[in-house]
Amino acid sequence: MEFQNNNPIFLQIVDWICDKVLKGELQIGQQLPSVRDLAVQLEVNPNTVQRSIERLIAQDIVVTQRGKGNYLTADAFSRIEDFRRQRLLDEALPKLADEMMLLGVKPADVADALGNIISRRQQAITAPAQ
Amino acid sequence: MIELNDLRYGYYRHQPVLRGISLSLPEGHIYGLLGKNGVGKSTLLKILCGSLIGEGEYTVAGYNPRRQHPAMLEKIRLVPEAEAILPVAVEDLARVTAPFYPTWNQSIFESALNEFQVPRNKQLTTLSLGQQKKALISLSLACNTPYLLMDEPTNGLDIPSKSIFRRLVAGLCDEGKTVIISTHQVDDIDSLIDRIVILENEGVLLNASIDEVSGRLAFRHAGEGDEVLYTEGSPVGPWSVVVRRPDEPETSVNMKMLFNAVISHKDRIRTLFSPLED
Repeated sequence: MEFQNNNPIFLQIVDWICDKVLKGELQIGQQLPSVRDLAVQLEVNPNTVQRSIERLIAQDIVVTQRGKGNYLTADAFSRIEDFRRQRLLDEALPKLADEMMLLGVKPADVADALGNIISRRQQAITAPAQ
Repeated sequence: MIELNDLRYGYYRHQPVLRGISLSLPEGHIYGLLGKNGVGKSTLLKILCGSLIGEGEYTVAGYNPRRQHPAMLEKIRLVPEAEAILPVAVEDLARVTAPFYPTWNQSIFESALNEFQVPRNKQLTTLSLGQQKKALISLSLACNTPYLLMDEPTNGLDIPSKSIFRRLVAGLCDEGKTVIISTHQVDDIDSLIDRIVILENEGVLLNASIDEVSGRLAFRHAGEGDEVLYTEGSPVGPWSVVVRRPDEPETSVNMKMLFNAVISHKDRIRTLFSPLED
């Protein structure tokens, strides 16, 4: 994993795990890989992974079953979805709005452009390049 | 636990290298040991494993390293920056090394050699510098000692090998282990370490966890009213180390910039990281 945005590594790992849930690569109720396996896979300190897991536990996305490991909670998906939607509104959109105001771009123009980008992405997913 | 209390050492009587290092390093962490050339990082590692004798009080796992007690020597392993390469194969070296370490783990040895793709039966002297280094790292990882000290371990490793190195060390670290990595190549290990120790000849400038650093300092564009400790140019404009505002989100820690901020603002860093500020 490449760590490059300006968030602390433990939060980037939280996002990485949440992305996997949103994409369906990790299922509700499924056991997470062990802290050690995640640390090896991501090439990071096990204590950093542990801190990420503790954050997910605090957000009721993960629960620890004693002696068994860490599991995704029943409502992990909806919790992540809510949290990430709120973050889109709170963080990504204000940045976009600043840039639009700087350039004098209208919301309607951006809405069209966004629609085009999303449909191209969806096509790429359903019909992967040869 | 490694404890140093006013550790001093000089290769020559009038030119001390270490002039009173006090440090306490609990187990369960991977420490990044940073410092300018000549501050005594390699010297410190050699003193900890008993191959140099320092002055002052210092213990490793409760033992005094200068006595070279076998019960201590079997718990600690040093990967020096450079060592004499013998005309033997690494598997033969393993055969004579393993008996000294009750924690020796043959499967770590095998899998490290496999991952690094180092031939086990070729004389080390016939291997490239990078291959030699990987063979010797594999040997030391397999010793699986509670204390593992590495001096510039990623020097001479190619890019994929650095990645393999991080995976191997991440997989071997647990709450009972103490790993100290001395390096100038901070980018190679910045995701691997969870505590950072910055040394100078006169003492320790910083001994803090990465979490403590990102709690107290922020790495970003500086704004009005920021207390700026260090600034450098970047493709997205000047990037700074500033004292973090209590209400702002934490940022990732840039080790190189942290190092420069610490050596240019020693006193401010000392007060910022003093236990009273917790």
